[in-house]
Amino acid sequence: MNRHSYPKPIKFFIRFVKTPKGVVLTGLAVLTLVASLFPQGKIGLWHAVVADLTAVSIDALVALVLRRRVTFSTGGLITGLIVADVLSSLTPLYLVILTTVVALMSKHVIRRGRKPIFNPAAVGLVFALSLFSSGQSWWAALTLLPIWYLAFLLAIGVYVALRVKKYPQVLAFLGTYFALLLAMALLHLGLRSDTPGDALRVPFINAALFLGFFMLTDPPTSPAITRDQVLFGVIVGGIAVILFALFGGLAYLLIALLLGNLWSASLAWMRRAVFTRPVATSPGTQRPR
Amino acid sequence: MSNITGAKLLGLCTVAVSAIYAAGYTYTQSTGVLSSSMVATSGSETHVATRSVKPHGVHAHDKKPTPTRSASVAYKDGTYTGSGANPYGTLSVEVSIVHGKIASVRITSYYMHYPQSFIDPQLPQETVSMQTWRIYVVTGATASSYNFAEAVYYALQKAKK
Repeated sequence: MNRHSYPKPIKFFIRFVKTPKGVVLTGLAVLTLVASLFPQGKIGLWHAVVADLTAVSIDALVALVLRRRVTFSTGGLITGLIVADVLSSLTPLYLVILTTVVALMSKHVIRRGRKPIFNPAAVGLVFALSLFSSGQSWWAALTLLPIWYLAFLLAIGVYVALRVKKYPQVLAFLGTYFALLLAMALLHLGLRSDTPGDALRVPFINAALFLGFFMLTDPPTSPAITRDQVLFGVIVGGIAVILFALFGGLAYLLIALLLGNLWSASLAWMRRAVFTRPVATSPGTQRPR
Repeated sequence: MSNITGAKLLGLCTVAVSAIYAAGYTYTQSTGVLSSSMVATSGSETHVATRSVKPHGVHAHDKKPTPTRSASVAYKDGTYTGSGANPYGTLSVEVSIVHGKIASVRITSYYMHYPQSFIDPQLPQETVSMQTWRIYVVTGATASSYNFAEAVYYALQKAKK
């Protein structure tokens, strides 16, 4: 069958899958389906469907309220999927929905121009963790499956990061994260309950890889220029290890990402302020018409 | 360096990051349990004391488990149940007391995120050998270990004379 003879919906699908959003969404969907092979994953899969329906509905509702054209929100699908993928499958369904709503609302409310400042899924997850002590198992990062599944996560993650052109950022994040954890281990730093040895193993390593490949690379909330990407990765990785060393817990990766997002937005603000500053004119010179 | 293309540079960086990870992993590797914390769960409060299997990146302080009060307490013979719960799930145990001592511990229900094989039979055996609910946390199954300790604690509370 010639590619040109495909029906229109299939052509559209093939075109979409090749876009950055399509690559991320496909990567996440594959991981979610693989993780659902685990018995409790089936509940997680149900949560993912509900979270995605919620996310698409919220985006459509916001578009209606703002009198914009209502489109099928693929960004919402990605956010909903990440929320469901990270939350434990034992999380009550209402909390999955609430987390998704908070995540989506943060995308529409906390903005810089047309772009959200913070990774929406990270906002929702930190909200759920801080107010409801929600369990976060990162099950779609294959934390519940045998260790060799980690290679599968790595393969999909690297492919996605390369396709969305954020691989330098991921490498900077992981390099900083691993190097500082090694330094912690060498210097015997950190908490007794949360050691560098723990962070470098399943399930924490899965969480770091999932965050690095699928959340850190979110185009609207991370820098586009390679040099800034590397700095962004270093900042997020550094903050994550500092938070892990001081407080341990589950939220250190998400909080580090949010602080990195804030840095990225501040950088864009500062650059915009510099580039839009009116040029001082000396007497006798005329401004170009 | 000017002749190194972007792809080659990314490849080299990937190898470097992998090497750093491998170094960290190897350094924190130990023969058995990686980081072992001694858990003492009492109601909603959890206290963690520490032992060190190997100090590599884990714990510098080596603390031998001290004989606990629970070890010296004689229990009523019989079979008692207890449960532990946290955001990662729930588990229940059945503790058998024979001649006033913990004779066996069996996990009767297990609804945690991580496989039961992470803690079973290690923690039930440890409970019997140490005659206490103060067991060592298994790295990678911290929540399951805490729940197990809590469940055994509540079962032993019922068995107290």
